[in-house]
Amino acid sequence: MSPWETQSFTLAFIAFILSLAFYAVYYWVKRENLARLAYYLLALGILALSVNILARSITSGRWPFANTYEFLLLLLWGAGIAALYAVKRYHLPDLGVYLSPVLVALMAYAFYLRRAAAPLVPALQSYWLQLHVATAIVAYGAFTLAFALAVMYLRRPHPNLERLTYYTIAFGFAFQTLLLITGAVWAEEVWGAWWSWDPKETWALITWVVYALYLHGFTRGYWRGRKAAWVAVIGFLVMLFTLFGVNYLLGGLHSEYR
Amino acid sequence: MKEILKRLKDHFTSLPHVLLVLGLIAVASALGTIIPQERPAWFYLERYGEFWGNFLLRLGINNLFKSWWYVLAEVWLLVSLALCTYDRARLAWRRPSWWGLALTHAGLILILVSLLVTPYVTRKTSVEAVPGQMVSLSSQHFPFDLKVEDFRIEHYPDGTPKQYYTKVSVWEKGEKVREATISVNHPLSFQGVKVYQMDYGWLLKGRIIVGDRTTPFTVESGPEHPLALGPFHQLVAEYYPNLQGRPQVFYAFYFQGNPVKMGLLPLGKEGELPGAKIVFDRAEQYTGLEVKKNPALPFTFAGFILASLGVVAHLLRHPRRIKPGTNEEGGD
Repeated sequence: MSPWETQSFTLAFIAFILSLAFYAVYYWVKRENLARLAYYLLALGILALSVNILARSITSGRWPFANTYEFLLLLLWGAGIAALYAVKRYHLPDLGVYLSPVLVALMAYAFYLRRAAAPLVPALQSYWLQLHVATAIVAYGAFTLAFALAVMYLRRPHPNLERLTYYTIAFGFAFQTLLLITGAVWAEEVWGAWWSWDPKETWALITWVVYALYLHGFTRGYWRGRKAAWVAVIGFLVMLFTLFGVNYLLGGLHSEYR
Repeated sequence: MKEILKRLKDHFTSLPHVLLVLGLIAVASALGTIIPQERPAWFYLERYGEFWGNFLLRLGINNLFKSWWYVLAEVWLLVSLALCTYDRARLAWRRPSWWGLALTHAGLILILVSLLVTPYVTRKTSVEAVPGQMVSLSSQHFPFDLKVEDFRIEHYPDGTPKQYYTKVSVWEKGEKVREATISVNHPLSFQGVKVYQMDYGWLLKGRIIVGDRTTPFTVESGPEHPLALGPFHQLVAEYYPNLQGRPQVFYAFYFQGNPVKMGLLPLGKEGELPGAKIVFDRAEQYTGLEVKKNPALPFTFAGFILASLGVVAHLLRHPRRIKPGTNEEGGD
């Protein structure tokens, strides 16, 4: 790993932790200045993460799409940018309070998984890798943001928050549909079967079904408010299991993607 | 009669029922990833005990995704999707912004039908062949034969494999009609049949010499490919292309399931067996290909395209205006 890559990772990690700390203090004392400071720290962390991703890409000569560690970096980056946007656009300083712990936890997990970039195994050498992983980042980034919004709603219900959660999930769901489809097309190219009930793809389908439940229940008014927010939380937990739990507990075809 | 049909339609399009079936499918699928699938019956009895093992087997949880009740749930969902999509498409005539969702649901119908029929319409076979070998596929009712011309592995500087290439020629009725190179992620597609790069390995050709009688043999390298030599003897061999600077074979000779002789032997050198001698003359690298004909594939891909276009169309125009849900407990 190049020094640029290592240093920027450390900087991003520290910035996220400080951001979390300031958001925590802001949560108790409710001083807007603290939230603003935490927001800038978050932005600094995202900037450092951008440098990190770029440095890694330059050293390895390919985009960082090839394993769980690299996926985490991109997910953090995507969720972080989405959060920065949502906080500014919808004036939701509190969103940072709920999202920053998730970012720090994901960053700590990335730190644990960290390793130097390795060349791509034959199965991963495909344009579908870029497309498949890109849709995953948008979808799972959106679900992460929706989780923070739903928890925030459970703490302090507000109709706008509920609507924002719905839109975020609808957006993520569209991309998760594309994620499953790109995965199926690619699996057909590489393994000759577009669906084989491999643990990773089955759990991605389960995640998709949970959010499909959320959307159908929500738009038809079957559940709103706290109930809907709880479904969004469950969806996020299922998503986390799809992303990380499956690797440890169930194995399968995606084990090449470590 | 009309009343019954209406009742049925109400059942299949009722939101609580749809949510229930979707939820059941999610939970069942999770179960199917946690409990190992398609193992022999004794595995379940040993692992889960007499009662639960039999319970799992009785409900077909050992092959959950093909069990009658899972398939039934899929068919139920299919009927529901078809009815809802029909309603949605009719609505879309009045509200064009609904077309996206109607398209996605139509795509999902095609995908679900494909999922159900693919196992029944797919024909496949595995091929292991060394360069120069002609593989007869027409005898297995595929529309052509395949000749493996060459196989090579490309490596990264650190020695890990980068790509596997099989050069093949396609033959129809004894005539060469096409040449192609198959690699991982680049299958050959010809006349509705696809050929995928799957595997590779070594074939070891040698002789066993007893007195003045010589018996030739071919054994596949690796402990998972034992070769039976008569009713009581087995040979297991593993090939190392570059061990201590030269190609060598590690071999084990079994009598009634017990190893009686093991050794490391360079290619071409004679080795000892009880009452006999063994020689590994040469090693040939084979390529493992999978040949597959899935006539449902165009429909599956049509489903993928419809569903993708649908979600993209829906993303580009937000049709929904939600009433602010101030009602805490949801409520219909």
